Amino acid sequence: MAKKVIANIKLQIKAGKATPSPPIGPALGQHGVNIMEFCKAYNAMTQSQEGMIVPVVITVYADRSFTFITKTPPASVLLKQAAKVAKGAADPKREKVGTVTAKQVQDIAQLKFNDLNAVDLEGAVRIIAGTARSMGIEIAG
Amino acid sequence: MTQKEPEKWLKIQISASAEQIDALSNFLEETGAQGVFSESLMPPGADDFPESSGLEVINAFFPADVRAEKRMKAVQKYLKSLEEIFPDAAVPVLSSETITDPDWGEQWKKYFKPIRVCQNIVVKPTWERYAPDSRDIVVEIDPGMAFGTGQHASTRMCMEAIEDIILKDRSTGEWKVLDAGCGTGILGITAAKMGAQDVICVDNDPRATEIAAQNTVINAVEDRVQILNQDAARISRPRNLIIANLTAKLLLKLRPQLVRLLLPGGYLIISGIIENDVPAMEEHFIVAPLVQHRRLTEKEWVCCVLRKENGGPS
Repeated sequence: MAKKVIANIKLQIKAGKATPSPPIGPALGQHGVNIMEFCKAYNAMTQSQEGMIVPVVITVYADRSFTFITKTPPASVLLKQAAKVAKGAADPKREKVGTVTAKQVQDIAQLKFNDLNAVDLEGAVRIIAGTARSMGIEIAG
Repeated sequence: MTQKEPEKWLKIQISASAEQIDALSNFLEETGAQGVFSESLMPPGADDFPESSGLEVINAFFPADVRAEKRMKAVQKYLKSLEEIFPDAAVPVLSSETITDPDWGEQWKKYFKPIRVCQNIVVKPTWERYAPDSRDIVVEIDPGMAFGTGQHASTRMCMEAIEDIILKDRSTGEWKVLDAGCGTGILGITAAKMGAQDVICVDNDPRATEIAAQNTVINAVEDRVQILNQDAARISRPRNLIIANLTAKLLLKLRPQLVRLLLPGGYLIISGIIENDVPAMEEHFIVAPLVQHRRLTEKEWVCCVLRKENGGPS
């Protein structure tokens, strides 16, 4: 019989840098997961991507064991890379920090498609475009 | 004695439409959060997760210091801006609380029970009872926030390798051990409990070495185990058993020092290796003067036991 799942936790953390501090401590500690064992496994798996944010989805079972899968970098990180900006806007309604092309938005939508709640590529493009607007990144073309 | 200031964190929780979560997470990280998390929980007694409502709740933590108020204002301003950009989307809801002296690392301890790691070695948390068999070697651990409880495959395989080496190699009179990156000290303490008289445990994290020192006392091996808060690369005394349960990247970085410290005929146990990294490890470690002695695998984790050829003077 499959083990009973009690929680799915999505963490957005830096590759190779997991420590028991927040957000990992509070996210996993409350479910009885051995935090250091997770840190060891995550750091070993992501050591080659150090410097990137590598999201991870952790499945916690009733016996407090866990499994996890790492995901592609967040769309916001990919948008910043495409727009060649270090940060998004603090007030995206009024402040514009950079520009990406429609083609770049489509490429990011394609890469992130499996992680997005979209039925088709068009829907995925709309989500990525929304993320860009929320960061003060304009879409040209 | 000065009292240590209790740790304080500002926890921010935001409920927003799933489409806004990515940008919101990015903003929180750029504002100083070390990362964010969201979770979906199985309701008690349910068989499946609830249907998604289209809303997600994310949590972010900031140190509750002088910048906390400024950060809260920045988050409020950002959320206001999002509302203006997406007037038809659900309005993001923000809540916050200050958490004092959290015990995140304590809650899992109730699930840490005594475990038999290999033929003769049992790891027991200090707060649990265990009635040992006559041949059992019981290693007692209070892990605090350090790594090494015997629950992880990489640690278990190291313990099995230590047991195998010390039990089978009768020609080595005195074991001189180095545990590089010792965490709780579990591996060095295991070697001492197996009979090693001269054990050095090093870790560059002072919290780990403090915990490891306490564990040597709990196991009554403090006379044989020296705990040092320093980089393994600074050790100079030659060893005939070196254990390094780290990551592939760190192992590759430390390789020259580990090989230099290892006496001819001595053993090097390397662990914490994910199977994808095995080719690179083989290329750099299974070369003269090292030869492969044994390999252990558990799920995706690999532990290699290497031996230094008896070529020259020790």
